[in-house]
Amino acid sequence: MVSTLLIVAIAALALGLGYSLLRNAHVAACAEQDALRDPSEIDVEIFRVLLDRDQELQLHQYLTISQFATFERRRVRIALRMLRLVDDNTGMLMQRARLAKIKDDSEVAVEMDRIIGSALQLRLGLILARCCLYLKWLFPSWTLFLPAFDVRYQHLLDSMYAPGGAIA
Amino acid sequence: MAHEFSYLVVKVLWVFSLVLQGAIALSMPTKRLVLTFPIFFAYTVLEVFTQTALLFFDTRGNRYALIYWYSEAVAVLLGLLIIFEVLRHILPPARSPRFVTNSVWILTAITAVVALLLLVSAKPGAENEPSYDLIIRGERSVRFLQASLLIMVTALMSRLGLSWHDKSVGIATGFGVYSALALVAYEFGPHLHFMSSTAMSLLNGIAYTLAVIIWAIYLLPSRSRLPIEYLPKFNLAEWNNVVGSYINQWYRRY
Repeated sequence: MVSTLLIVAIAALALGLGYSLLRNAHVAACAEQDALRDPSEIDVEIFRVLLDRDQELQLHQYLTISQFATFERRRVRIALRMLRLVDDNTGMLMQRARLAKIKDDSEVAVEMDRIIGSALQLRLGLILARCCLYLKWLFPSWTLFLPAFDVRYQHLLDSMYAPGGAIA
Repeated sequence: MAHEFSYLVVKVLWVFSLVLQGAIALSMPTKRLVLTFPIFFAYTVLEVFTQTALLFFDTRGNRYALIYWYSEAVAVLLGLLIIFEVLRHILPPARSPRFVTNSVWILTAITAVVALLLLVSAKPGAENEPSYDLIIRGERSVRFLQASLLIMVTALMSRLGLSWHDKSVGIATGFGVYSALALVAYEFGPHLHFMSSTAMSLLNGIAYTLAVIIWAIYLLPSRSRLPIEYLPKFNLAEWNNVVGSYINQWYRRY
């Protein structure tokens, strides 16, 4: 009985998604045309300034708690809006890179693969950054850190594969 | 009367999907898609040849059964290999973040284990020969994997920068829709006995025709795509650096 329920659930989900995919095909085609327009210009320096820890500490020092919270939330909102634009630009770049890959040129394909990989890494980073910014919006004065147990092991792994490392 | 009508509908659907699949098999080499999707091409050719041969044999004869079951075994194997072919196309290249590729492979492994459990736990059919029964169970497991593949492709489409036009998305959608309906037909037919064998074969016929129509939509027309002469100026490396350092601000090293 469990296997029947599981199979029917997977089948229903697949059918629903397949239907919505085909139904929204024309919307997707318009979105593809959108992908061929030029990306929005976003200044990375503004983003850097918006999230600068030193500036935040200074503001914390000179403003009252409520003033700081209001100001910090405004900075977070702008940063989130910028991240949305960055996400759009990255998606656009990925689509264009996939389209450019169709050309029968192995060098172009390798370069496009590199761009797609890099864009994907940025998109994953954007998800994490958004989560951090939402937390910041909820608790503007929060100074807690998240534990990063994996970092030490990641460094160890990287050092093993680095030139001159244990495995290289 | 109803039985005869449904038999006629199944026959019409059979011939219709056969003609469409023939057209797909003929158009793939001209569009240089054979090298891109060699396993899907092999599957299409196999289906065209076996379905054409089966049209000329009596369904109750030994030859019919022999061709049907042998081709079914090969089709199940090819169906399994097509999953990997589609995954190879949609997944980002090897140098992309390990996290993404690892997560997709872990999800695939979990789905494969569930499919394997379905294969092992299914009760053998009383009337079937053991070898035929093994093919049926194998087919069910592959159908389960194909339906799961469609769910995964749809969920990751926008994240991976895939578009509706991608042929790998079309192949996955065709197999996913067919597999989902075939699984439902099997569960409500021979397994739970809620559906007669006539209704089951009708549903299977409709499902397969739908899949072939989806493949034809993706693979037959030669869409003229706008040439991509240049990529927009967007500094990915710098943004990766800025976003990465912001995330790192939140971590305390242990």
